[in-house]
Amino acid sequence: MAITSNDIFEALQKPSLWWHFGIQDIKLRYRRSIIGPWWLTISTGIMVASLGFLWSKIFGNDIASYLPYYAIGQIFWNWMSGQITESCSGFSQFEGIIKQVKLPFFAYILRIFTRNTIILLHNSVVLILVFLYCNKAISVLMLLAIFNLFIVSLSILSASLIVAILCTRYRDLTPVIASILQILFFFSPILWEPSSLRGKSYIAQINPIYHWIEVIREPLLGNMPSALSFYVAIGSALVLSVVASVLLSRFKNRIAYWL
Amino acid sequence: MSMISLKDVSIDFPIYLGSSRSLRNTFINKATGGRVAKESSRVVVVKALDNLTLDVLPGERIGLYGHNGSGKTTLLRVLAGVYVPVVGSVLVKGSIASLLDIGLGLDTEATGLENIYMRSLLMGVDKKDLKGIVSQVVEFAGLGDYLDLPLRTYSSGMQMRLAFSISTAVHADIVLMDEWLSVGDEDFRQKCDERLKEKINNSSIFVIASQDYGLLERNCNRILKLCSGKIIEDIRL
Repeated sequence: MAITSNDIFEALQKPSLWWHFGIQDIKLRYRRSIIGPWWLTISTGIMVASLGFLWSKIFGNDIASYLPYYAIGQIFWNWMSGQITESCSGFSQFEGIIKQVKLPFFAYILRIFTRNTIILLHNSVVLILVFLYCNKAISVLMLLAIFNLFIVSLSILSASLIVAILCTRYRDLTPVIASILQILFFFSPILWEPSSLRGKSYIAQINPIYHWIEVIREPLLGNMPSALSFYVAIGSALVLSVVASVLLSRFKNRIAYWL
Repeated sequence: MSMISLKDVSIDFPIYLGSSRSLRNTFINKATGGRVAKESSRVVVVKALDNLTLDVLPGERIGLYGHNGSGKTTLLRVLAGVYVPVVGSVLVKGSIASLLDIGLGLDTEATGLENIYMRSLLMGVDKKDLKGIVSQVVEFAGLGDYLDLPLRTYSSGMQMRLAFSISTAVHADIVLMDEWLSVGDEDFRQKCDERLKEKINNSSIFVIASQDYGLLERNCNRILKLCSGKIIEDIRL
């Protein structure tokens, strides 16, 4: 465990290793386009607007109440799944650096996290537009959403570390994770509301992703998230970070060999 | 005080060829008590370093000599802290400049200047020293206005000039080098040689791997001959 905390603290102490690089990655990705990362905002906006319209018709919901619900779920799902997907190659994409200099491994995860969080910030413009369009009231509870976002980030960062270590060792885990994420998207209440499950709401309740989205989405919509969701969010952050620490301390010295 | 001390270091590379790298086989292996996927559990292991013991004191210029696959680069990577041995102990004191592959980590989409920043950060330069390092690299590379253009517009010679200038800019107690670095046109080569010599003189310990025995004789005061991961000869000049 001591090795793990060293690695993580060292990474946190050197923000130039991931903060600067995460920003640089995004800059480079959009270097040759004029509006750059705002393309993400536009494509997310178009997707949320058109699918929001379509699904509200399919479910027969009122668009003003459905659209914010769907937009928040979709945008935070994109953030989580993007982070996990990129973490599959979290170490192998930096093979050149890892094989040459000794840097804390967690810094690579934080670099990917910085990228995805910047994208999330760009996408949050869509949320603001949706809220304006639907006349959603601003409430103090939105601050709770920001706090909960930190808790969920802990889970996501830990899960990323786990995924990165396992995918470096077992290369065919990457497509497995991609397909698991695809299925999870439909099993998580993003497009649909748990109430539409009718008596079978356990399908949503047993899914931690439901609770992660719920603790962010409910306060943004002006409601208090359920205590259960809150406990699951905290509990899963604890469990995942313990698993991540154990894996990291056990395999930290092996990662370079696997590349 | 910088020093290097390796004791009985062995490095084994597990070679995962498809089957043993796959989760399915590991799983089947576990589930069947290793009966079904018997072949796949036999991971091929390459012994890169074999029970190697080495002590280096300040002032020593070490040349690693040996044919391909004798373990030179692996030894350099162990010294850089990249490979942590499963067997044996490694003690390295002092800051390390690892010039194992100077071209690695360069981003062709980023400008020359951005590359200088990124590489310097990766090499552990403090944010406050960054400005000084950058201006020094800019001056040495002599690429002028090209530094504001993306690296992909550079000729390969110019890319290497930049890579060389960045990698050699940072001072370190221990300098690790894989083959003598010499890039660019004739004039620049001369500058490179001077700069490397200066860097070596300023360092406390210098370790270079090369196939060129003459070069090692000229620049080192101790030559280690490696063969299949062992030191077979320790020559002090």
